[in-house]
Amino acid sequence: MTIFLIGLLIIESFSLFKEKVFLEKLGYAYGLGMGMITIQMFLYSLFGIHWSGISILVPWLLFYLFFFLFKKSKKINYHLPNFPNNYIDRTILILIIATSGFVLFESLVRPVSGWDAWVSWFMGGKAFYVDGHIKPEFIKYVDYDYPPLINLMITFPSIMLGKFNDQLTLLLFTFFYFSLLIIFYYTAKKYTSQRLALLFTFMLAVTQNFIRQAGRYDVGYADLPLSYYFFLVMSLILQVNKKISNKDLIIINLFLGVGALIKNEGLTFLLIIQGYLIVNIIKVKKYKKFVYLLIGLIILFIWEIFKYENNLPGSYLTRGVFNISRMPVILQEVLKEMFNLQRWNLIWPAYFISILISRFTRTTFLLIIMPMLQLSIYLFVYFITPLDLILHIRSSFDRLLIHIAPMIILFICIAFNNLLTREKQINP
Amino acid sequence: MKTVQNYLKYLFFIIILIWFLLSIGRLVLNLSKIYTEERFWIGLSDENKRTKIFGDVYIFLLNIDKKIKKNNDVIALSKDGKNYFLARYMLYPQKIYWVKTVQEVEKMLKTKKYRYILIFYPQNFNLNFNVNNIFSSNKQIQVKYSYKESFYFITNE
Repeated sequence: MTIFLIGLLIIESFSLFKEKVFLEKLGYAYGLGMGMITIQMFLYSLFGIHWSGISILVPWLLFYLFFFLFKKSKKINYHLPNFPNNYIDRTILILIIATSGFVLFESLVRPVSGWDAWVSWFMGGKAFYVDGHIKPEFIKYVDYDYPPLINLMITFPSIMLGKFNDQLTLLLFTFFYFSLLIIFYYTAKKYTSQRLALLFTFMLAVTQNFIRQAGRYDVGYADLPLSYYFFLVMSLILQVNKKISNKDLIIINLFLGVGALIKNEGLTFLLIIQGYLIVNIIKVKKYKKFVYLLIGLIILFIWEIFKYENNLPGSYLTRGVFNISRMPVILQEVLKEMFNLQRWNLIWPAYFISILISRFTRTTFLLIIMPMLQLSIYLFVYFITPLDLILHIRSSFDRLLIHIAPMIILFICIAFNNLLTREKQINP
Repeated sequence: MKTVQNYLKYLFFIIILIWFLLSIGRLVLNLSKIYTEERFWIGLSDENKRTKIFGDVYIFLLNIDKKIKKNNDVIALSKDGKNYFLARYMLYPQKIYWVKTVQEVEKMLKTKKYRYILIFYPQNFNLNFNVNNIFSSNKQIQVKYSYKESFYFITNE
């Protein structure tokens, strides 16, 4: 609740997402609130400020008072969307609600059980809570090369509760799932119809890999939160026009910075998106906007300085050597995963076919290029990994695909809509 | 070219339709798991749930956590990493150091003062019951706590 409120407070204070409805703002508010709290905790740790409920929330309380005392327009529109008024849309919505209800039930029925969850993410969250700050000795002890935001995210509820509680913390991951579905629906609705947006939101919701990470056995992994931030950024990139405003640049780069501090894969996505933003800024010749690109980089830079000063472990990939002869094995394992019906349904076959039949617009071009660039980096890693190749691919690739899957499904949704529109025009 | 495009369009429609039908099937299957799999979890205590997930090692570590004095390093002798990682998670801020053989334990006992040793599944190590015969470096150690003869907590306290 606190996380949503902080996010909403920032959105309303700075008049962000003015054209968006309340539910859609909630979807963005979660990521914004979570990002701000974890960055706040990170900075507190660096400056030796003690973590407590009071020290974390009081600045937001003061900000809230300032907002209500000084902001002219204080009215927040809490209007929730109406239930669809036709049977088909209602049915699909019920299917989405049923899926979400199942995921929520799953996240409550079992304590943290996913291997990476308690070995890495919750281990760090507990350690940060017990130590009261980010202790470099702990990071060396566990030999981590992960950034700290997911660990801090796990620490936060424990600070509020006064004791470490990994069961309740799992809900944070489930809320990433709900927020992702909300953002996906409203983004898809901008390019298609309400029905198609609902349909593809349902098909995203029921994808087994998302259900696993949102509530079932893999809940507590960092891939779902990262997928959410990637989609958030993509959704904003698609919606802004060529003359990207300063506010858009700030919020996009903030989310990129948060993503980069969740997992190392977030860094590559940050560079890809910033590459796109640089091209756009050069096109419109507004060179002063380059300064906003520094926002995400500054946050990341502070973490890199912290690692350097404390001699913390670097990436294991630095031990690897590029080996092109791995291509057949990589291709085989990658295709095996993409065509795994149980985990992915028919997402990937649909995506590849929709690329072949799509007409290219700015939107569809971005939804092909950005995920594919990110995917190519993941594949490059397999060419250089010092770990056992097949083991590495089988233990990681399904989770890496989660990062880009919502963008892929959005592309399929838009392609399907465009096809239906063309067919209607040909055969009215 | 136009024919190929048409075939691809039909294929695309069919894939979307099958995808949707599979999604419905997946939802029905997931909901059915509430009865077939998940109902056994409802009503269980947190301790029972974690024992179900991690096994008896969870109970062992829960009890160990109360016995270990803080800020003392612990050696974990285990063939498999799961026990070590679970100990690392549950016992933090105690630092746990994982070894896979008795010889490594003896090496560590010579280099630094460790007060505690956890042995996971001692039957994997051909141990005698008298631990003093195993760890020659320190003749004061004893099995302070054992859980179902599968886990030993050894200390020189």
